[in-house]
Formats: sequence, structure tokens, C-alpha cells
Amino acid sequence: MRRKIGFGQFDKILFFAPLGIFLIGFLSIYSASFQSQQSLGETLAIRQVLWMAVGVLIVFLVVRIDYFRFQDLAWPCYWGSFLFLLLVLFMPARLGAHRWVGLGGFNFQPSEITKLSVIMVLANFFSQNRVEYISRSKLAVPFLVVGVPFLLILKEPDLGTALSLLPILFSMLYLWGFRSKTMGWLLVVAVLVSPVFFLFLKEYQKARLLVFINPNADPLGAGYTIIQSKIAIGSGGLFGKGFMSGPQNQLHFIPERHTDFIFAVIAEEGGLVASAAVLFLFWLIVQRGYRIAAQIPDRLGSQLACGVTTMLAVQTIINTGMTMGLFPVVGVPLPLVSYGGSSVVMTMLAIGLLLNLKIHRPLF
Amino acid sequence: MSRVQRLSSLALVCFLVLLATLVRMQVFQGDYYRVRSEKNRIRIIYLESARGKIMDRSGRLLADNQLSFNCSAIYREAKSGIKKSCELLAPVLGEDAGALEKRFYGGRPGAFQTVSIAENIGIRKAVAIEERLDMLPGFMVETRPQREYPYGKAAAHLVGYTGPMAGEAADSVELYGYSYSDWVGQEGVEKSYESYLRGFSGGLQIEVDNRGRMVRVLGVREPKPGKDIGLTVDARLQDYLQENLESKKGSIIVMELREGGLLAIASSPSFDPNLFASKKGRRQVREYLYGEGSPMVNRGIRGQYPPGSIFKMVTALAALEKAKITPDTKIHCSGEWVLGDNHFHCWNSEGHGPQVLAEAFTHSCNIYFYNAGILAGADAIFQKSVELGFNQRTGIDLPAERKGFVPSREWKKKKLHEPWYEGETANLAIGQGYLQVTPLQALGMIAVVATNGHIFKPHVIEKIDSVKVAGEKTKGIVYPAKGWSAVRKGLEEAVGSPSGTGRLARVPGLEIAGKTGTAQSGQDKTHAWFVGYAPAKNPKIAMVVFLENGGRGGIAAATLASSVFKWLSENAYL
Repeated sequence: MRRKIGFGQFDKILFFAPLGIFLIGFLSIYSASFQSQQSLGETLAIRQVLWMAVGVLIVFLVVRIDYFRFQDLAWPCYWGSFLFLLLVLFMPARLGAHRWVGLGGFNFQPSEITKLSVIMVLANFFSQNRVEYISRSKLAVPFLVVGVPFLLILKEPDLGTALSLLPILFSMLYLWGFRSKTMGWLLVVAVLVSPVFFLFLKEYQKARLLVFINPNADPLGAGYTIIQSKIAIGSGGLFGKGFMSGPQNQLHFIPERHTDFIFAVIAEEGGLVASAAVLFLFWLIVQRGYRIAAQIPDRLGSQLACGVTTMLAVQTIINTGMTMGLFPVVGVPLPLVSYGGSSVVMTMLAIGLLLNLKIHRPLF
Repeated sequence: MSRVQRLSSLALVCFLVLLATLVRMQVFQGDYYRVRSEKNRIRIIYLESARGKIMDRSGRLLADNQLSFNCSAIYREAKSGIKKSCELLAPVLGEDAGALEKRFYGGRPGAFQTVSIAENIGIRKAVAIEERLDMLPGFMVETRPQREYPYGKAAAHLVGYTGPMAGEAADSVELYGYSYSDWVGQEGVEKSYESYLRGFSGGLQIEVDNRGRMVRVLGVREPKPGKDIGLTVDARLQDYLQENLESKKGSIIVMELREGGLLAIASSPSFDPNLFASKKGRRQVREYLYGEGSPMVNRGIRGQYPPGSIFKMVTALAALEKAKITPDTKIHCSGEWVLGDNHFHCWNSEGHGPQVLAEAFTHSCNIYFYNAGILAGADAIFQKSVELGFNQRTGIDLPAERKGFVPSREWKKKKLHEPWYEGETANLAIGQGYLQVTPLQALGMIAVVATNGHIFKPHVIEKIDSVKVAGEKTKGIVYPAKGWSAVRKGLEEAVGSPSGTGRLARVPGLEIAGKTGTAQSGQDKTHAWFVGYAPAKNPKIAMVVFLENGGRGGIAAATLASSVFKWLSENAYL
């Protein structure tokens, strides 16, 4: 059953909201990483634009393919990313972590591909099995599918990405038909198990979690990041300090300002107006994503849409919440805003997938 | 509601919580965070102003400023490499690496402030550290003007010292306009002329980045140096007095009689004010504060003692004024004198025989002055002593002067609820009993006698910023000239006569007048006093020598006075 691509079904909001977010991100990266006597071509912001171009290209490639074809790609993608996750552990560490794999002159993060391939495999599994008739042993499959990359990513270490896999699994299990009570038990188990994982964390990760409880315990060390980020956000006020004029940003008080803490730069220089706008645009994407998941009659598409949307929502919520001190500092990029090629390309791939799902959904 | 819709609602709740947090932080707490942001980036660098110098009458420096080098570190920057840095620093500073590290963590300041690792390290070590700064991340050599006192112990009480403001002092109105890190005068001239000596610290307001590096200067206030102060004292005499008082307790004060300026004011035991200038020294200071012999106390103005026989001139003046005696009145001394049931003794148990006033001064005869005192009455003696400056502060320009005590009939009735006894009048007449005076008051008394009734306000200030400060004019006591000359004759005899009690104060070629005193101290050894002036006919200099538990005034104090008079004549003051 092949249908013509109905561009009438192309969701413009779902396409332009990411572009809007990217534009704000571009300006923030420019402001956060600008060094005097730098020409525009040399800035990180321009490199980010190149990645975005690749991302938009991918969107137009992806929307053309019927998403049922992805079914066959799911497991190969999964095993591929699994191999990369193993490989990455043997790569030289950058910034104290084994997160990047060098590939033909540029580096990419396998954990970014992993998120999407896990979603695909889970969607596959949940569409082929019914929750009512599943056997005990088979029920272990989705947990293993998530658990193995979870541990590998934790080993890199990349606590934030590893943790963001869990809400994805939970949302898809819930959509599959897990009862609310069961979900509650799963949450309880996760909370009870977490102290065990705490023992395996690196010192700096433990410190970050501890200062989340009390940032002033070590104001110059681990708590410094969060204190400075909160100062930046709060001091932005309603209208912000203006583009390129936030002292917290320009004088480098905000750490990781063009990557994980870029939201603090937006909030400082653009004020509540800009930061709320970013949140609103993300909400548009998330709301559209879930609506697509609800509209798609087949279970594969609906699971895919749900997983991808949850992934975007979780990253946004954790990243912005972390800069405001609502979550511990766990190193999750803000999609389309934080500097980094892998994240931009994978996020656009996810957006492309959502657009694709809307276009190719079976209409009865 | 479908399951996806529920997930969607959950996400919406999360987004709304985020939005609410943003509103709370950016709108409601915006001002709070803005202040914190300003504090982050704006730093004030104090430019300490030089404190005014303190000089003696010939411009010799009593208090000077030296550039002091401190080794300090910016906490945040130095933290990561502190172990290595300390190991590198240890041999340069000659200290233990562990101790340096401990000091670094001990003085934990604000995020970008500096921790002092070693103070006053000297220029050689400072240069050695400067050369190695590349390998010492976050370290720096700071310079600061530091007080130096070239005469050390000799002028310690006079000049005083400076120190960080104590907690409560910082809140006092007097010190308005100071910052908590400012040092203020704590003693002596440093304290009493603080408002002139003090410079106004300037400051640089700078913008810094996250590593505390300066980005740009936002504003400058030039530091204003303090005013120099010239004193009336002669630093060499201070030195000389300190030498002579070494290992003794007591005080010597020398005054020129033209305006009442002090040539020297020495107190012993003394302390080294230089120790107060450095951290290392301040630890040693504790020993001073709680040490034997109270070295911090300026005995000249803060010690209160019974004056003994030097007070006899007050008794004589009172009795002469009341016309109870004349200079030629003869009183017989048999060595013992009975008043009611009490037996009073002269220090010479064999007695001095019949005496006129001048002879009584010469021999310091107690019996004569018992009688003179009883004749004059306690009220007259009290009144005369107040006229001569006792029972009140002289008003010298040094801090925390004490005012001594002269007992009176009224006081006794009021405080002790007892009547005044005649025996107490007798005791008062020879400077014993409840009577307490400071050496400076004793000097004030002899100065009045030496100038026939001029009262000086003793002072040490001569010039502020080389502008002469007018000496406080004297006020006179109305008193018949005959009376002055009678007492002065007695004082001349006391030193000049071969049987005079003060004969050891003599210096060949000088005419000296004076009176010794040996006061019961309540301990084994008596206090020794000498007050005197020279030249006897046309006095230029007055002096008090006081030795706490120093024995007999006629021996210890008079001998010391003699050597001071000799020094004064050799140095053209007499």
C-alpha cells in the first residue's frame, strides 16, 4: 500500500518551531563563544549552522520514506550503536569522558544514535507483542534493550543521557498498556535501586548530586556551576541584559555556557521574554508530537511518535530544570540550542521522524 | 482521556513548573540575583594610602612607612594546584609546605578574594616568588605600606601602634568612613592624632571575569596620604631614658617650661611596637598583654601612686596661704609627734630639731609638715592640690590618661560614711593615705612651682604637616610671690645643701631645685620619686622621675634625675 506523500499533511508548526528554537540557539552560541577579533566564519555558531543544514537535509530525506520500512532497520541500527558504545570506551577521553568517536575528521556521540535506535527497537517490539499475552521471559526484552546501553552510557560516563533513556522506556511501556499501578511499582524499584548506582558513580558525579541538595556546601567547587547559572537566569529579569551584554555570560561566570548551560545565557541576555519563548516553542513540538502519537492508528507509528516526543520533552525539561537548580547537574544538552553536531543532527532526525509519521500515517 | 493525552498532560505540567520557576527567579527574585551578579563581576581593589609620619622636634622619624610584601593566593584559582605550589614555595619562604597549605585552607575568604599565605616576606623572597609565578597558579605578591617604628621600645608608649579595627570600634561613630580592613591607631599619638595621620584609602573599581582577571577599570579614587606630625619630644632623649629605665619599672617625663611641651615621656617596662605591624608579631603581643609588669601601660599617665614627700610643697603652699605659718616659723622635730592617741614618726628617728620651712624641705622633715598640715587643715590642702592640677586630668594629648585621687572630708562622708580624722590630715600632708597621683600630675605640680604659678597643658604635639600648632596658653594661679620664693628656696636647698635629701640629683655647673619622695607602696619596697627643675633661678626644664618599688627617692630617683639633667645640659637644653 503505497501512498503519495501528502504535503498537505506536512506539519508546518512542527517544522518551523525547531527552526525558531535553533535561531535563538544560534544567537546564544554566538554570544557565549564569541572571542574578539574573530570573523563570523570562525565562530562556533557558524559551525552549528552547518550542522543544522545537514539536519534540515535529513528531515527532507526522512519524510520521503514510509516509516514502516524503518522496522527492518531497527535491530541493525541498535546493534550498530551497541558496537559504537563499546568502541567509544576505548577511545581517548575528552573532558574526562569517553563520549566521542572520531569518524573521518569529526567526532560524534554514539549515545545520541543510541537513543533513537532504542526507541525504534522498543516500538518494533511493542507493536509485535501484546501486553495481555506476553510471556514472562519475553517481558524481559524491553528492559534488556534499555538496560544494556544504559550501563554502557553510564560507563562513559554520561549520566544525563543514560537517565533520559528511562522516561522513554516508561512512556512507551505505559502506552503499550502497563497499568498505572505497575508503572508506580516500576518507579519505586527505580528509586530503590538508584543508591546502588550511586556507588558506581565517579567522584565528580556524586559531588554534583550532593550539591544539588545543598549548592552552598561547596560554593567554589561543585556548587559553583549551579549558583552561577541561577544568578545568570535570575539577573536577566523580564527583558534581559541584551544580546552580547550579559555579564555572567560575557565574563565567563557561567560554566559550559555554549553547551549544557546555554539556557542560562538565553535567560540572562534575553530575560523572561526569551526564556519563556524557548519553553513555549519546545512545548509546541512536544504537544504536536503527542498529538501525532494519538492520531496514528497503528501501534508502531504511535509508539515511535510517543518515544521520540518523550525523548525531546525529557531532554528539554532536564536541561532547563538543571540550569534553574530544579535538577542535579547531569550533562544533558538542550536540543537544537546547545552547541554540538551529534545532538543537532539527531534532534532533526527525530523531528523528521515525527513529520514523517504525520504524513505517512494510514488513513482509514 | 487516552494514555497519550495523559503523557501529554504530564509534560505540560512539567513545562508549567519550569515556566513558574522562571517567573519566580526572573521577576520576583530578579533584584536579588542582579545584586549577586554585580558582586560577581565588580571588585574594589583598595589602594592603601600612606599614613602620616610621626617625627620628633628635629625631624627624626618615630613612625615611618615601609613597603611590606605579602605572598597571597586567589582561592579559586590556586586551589587545584595548591599542593604543588606549596611545595615550590616552601623552600623559598623557608617554611613547611604542609603549614602553608593549612594556612591556605584556613583563611578561606570569598570566592575571588585573596588568602594571605605569608606576610612581610622581605624584598628578596618577594622577587624570588615573582620569578616563579608562572609555576604558581593563582599566587601573587601584594605590596602594602607597613608601619615601622625606628625607635622601637624607646618611644612605644608615646607613639603607640596601629592595628586592625576591633569589632565594636568599627561601629563607633568616631570611626565613620573606615572600612573593616582599615588599620587605626591603637595607642599613643597614633591614636590621639588618628584623624590627621590617617590617609584616605583610594580604590579601583574594576570589572573582572570568572577567574578574577581584570577586564576593565570602571572607576578610580586616588588615595590621599595622611598628614605628618611633628612632636615636641627629642627622640635621642627618649632613647636615653629608655636605656636608663631598662630593667626598672617606672616613668620619666621631661617638660620644657616655655609652653609645656614634653621633651620626653618614657615608661618602663616597654614593648616593641614593630611587632604589632605583622601577623607573626601579633602573636607575641599576647605575651605583652598578659605579661608580667604590664608593659603596655604608660605609667607616666596611667599609673597612679601615692606621691609621698613630693606632695609636701602642696601642704606648705596651703599653710602659707592660710597664714598659719611663715617661712620663718620654727617647728621642733624630736623624731616623734603625738596626735591624740597616735604616735607619728619622722623618717629620722633622732629628730631634726627646730626647723624653718626651707630646712624642713631640705631634710624632708615629716614632723614639720604634720604640723603645717594640721594648721592648714584638710580642706585647704585639698583645695590647693586641685589648684595645682591633682584630682583631674592634665589634658595631655595622649589617650586614656587617669586622673588620680585626692581625698576630702566630703568624699569620705559620702562614700565611706565616716568622719574625717585629724590623723588623715597628717597623712595627707606628707603625701600618704588615700592620695593617688600620676607622674604627669607630679610634673604639672613642679612646673607650676618652677614658673611661679603658671599651669601648662602638657602636650606632645608641635606641628601638623609642618604647620605649628599653637601651644595652649597657660593660666596662672594667683598666689603671693613671697610664698613661691619660700617654697622654691626649700627646693633649692633640698638639692643644693650638703644635708639635702635630694643632693644626689646634683650636676656640677647646674643649679637644680627639686624634691624627693619615698612613698609607702603597700609592698616591701617603697616607690621612689623625684620632681625638680633647672636652672633654679630661671627654670627652663622640669622633670619627674618615678620608680615603682624603686626604693628611696633620695637615692634611686635622684641619681637617675642627675644623669638626665646632665644629658640635658650636654645637649644644650640647659
